[in-house]
Amino acid sequence: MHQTIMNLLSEVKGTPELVHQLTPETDMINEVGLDSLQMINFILAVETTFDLQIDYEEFDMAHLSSINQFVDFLHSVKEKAGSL
Amino acid sequence: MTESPSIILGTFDAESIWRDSHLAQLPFFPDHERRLLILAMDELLFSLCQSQDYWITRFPIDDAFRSYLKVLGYEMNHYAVVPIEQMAYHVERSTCLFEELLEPHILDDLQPTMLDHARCVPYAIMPQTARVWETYQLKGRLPDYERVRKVNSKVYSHQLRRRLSFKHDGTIIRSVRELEMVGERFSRDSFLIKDPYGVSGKGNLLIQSNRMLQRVIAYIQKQEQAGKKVTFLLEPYHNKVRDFSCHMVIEEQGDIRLLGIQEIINQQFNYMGSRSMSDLEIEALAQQGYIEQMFMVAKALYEDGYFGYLGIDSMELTNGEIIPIVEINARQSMGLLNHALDQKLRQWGKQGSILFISLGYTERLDISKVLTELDDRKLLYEPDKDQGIIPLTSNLLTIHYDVISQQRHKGMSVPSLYKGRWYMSVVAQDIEEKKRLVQEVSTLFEEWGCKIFS
Repeated sequence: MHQTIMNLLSEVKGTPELVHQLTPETDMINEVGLDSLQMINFILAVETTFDLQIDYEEFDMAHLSSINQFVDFLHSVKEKAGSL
Repeated sequence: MTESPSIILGTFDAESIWRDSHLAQLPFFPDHERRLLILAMDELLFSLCQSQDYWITRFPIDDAFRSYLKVLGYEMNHYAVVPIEQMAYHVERSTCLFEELLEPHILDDLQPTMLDHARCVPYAIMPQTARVWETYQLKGRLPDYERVRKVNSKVYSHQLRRRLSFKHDGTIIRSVRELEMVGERFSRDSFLIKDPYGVSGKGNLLIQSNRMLQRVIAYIQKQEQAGKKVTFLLEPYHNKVRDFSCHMVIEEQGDIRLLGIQEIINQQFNYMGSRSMSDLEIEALAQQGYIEQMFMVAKALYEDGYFGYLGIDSMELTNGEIIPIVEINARQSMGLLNHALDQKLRQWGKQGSILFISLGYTERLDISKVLTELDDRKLLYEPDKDQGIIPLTSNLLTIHYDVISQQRHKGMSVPSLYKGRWYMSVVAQDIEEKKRLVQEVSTLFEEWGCKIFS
């Protein structure tokens, strides 16, 4: 999952070389610098790739403070969806 | 240019005010920093000022920056509406500068001298602009606000393409049912969903798969069920060689003047900069009938009640075809500001191009320190130089920090990184020189611990 997210991030940023600079600790807002348009494109790509739905209104930006944190968040979304 | 002084002012991101709040929206995340930065973008309007003019900005302008502008010959009068100590209070409640101008006594200091015979040149016509006109008895006429709103909508652009028999392969959808049907037809390839008042960086979504389309449909369906009105423009996604914009003025009496054509530098759907096209490039477009088409557009807008500044975004596809209307901006625009700067630079035989760097920082950046450092490194443009950087803004670099500083006493949390933008015109003889100058400015900010985002 980590690698797929890194690939999606560098696609959304339009900078293929970014993928080599990302680590599980990378802060997606303050280090990658996702702007609002890139953010929505990234989240849509994540939803499409992993077949899950994220509630945009309830989304906490803190989930983007590292790729690790975001992966944990995605697991929790999947678990919630599975328990419904 | 008129002999009577002009008042130069405006609110950027006019589209968010023109937009009907009952319209359903594309998925988005709120962007607090972007909103702050947009409030300070009126600084860029100095480029439209002549010496006798009055430049009104929302926030005070740094003295060092104003001194630098004087070196370039921008000696207009300046007035800031919001005192520096009230910035945080102001950003929490206001979006439109014209609203501020309707507050009692706000322009009392200037009124006796400035407003006699003055005409106003707003960035865009807002709901309160006509009341400001009446209150201060300004010269000239204004187009009707509702007509301005209408011609700035992508629905209008789409209808005008059909009316003028220009290429039109988009479809307006007015319900989720229509979105499903038309989306299905379009989804064999990538396509765009455009909000009627979408702008660079907001309101355009590229749909690349049916799954993505289904997700967006679900998002919009929720809003439709809650009573929101659905209106979007769907267009195939074209592979293009370049984006450009045609800038014109439609006078009150209907005379139309072509000001110039600007190449637009975009990154995905984000505006990144502008460059004036050469006479040769414009001539090549004229030979393809493009200029004639632009006059047809301007004439149609005048017939529909609009006059004033006009920017028409166009694009050239990989097959050489020109799409004359991508969207219509019946207002001033970044391309117009680049044109105005180039008019100033022309006296020294130079040309620049507007670019900006988006950056993050942890400690306040001081504009006078930036100017001094650029000068020390021989990067700062001055009239006797062949190349260099012309800084175009000051508050855009620091507003996030300044507002947060004022909010701290209210217990607002401090971000780990402040966001800012550095707008500049890069004056260079060739593309290599331009790249070098931009790189050196980026390096300077990086040396100060800034994170460069784009």
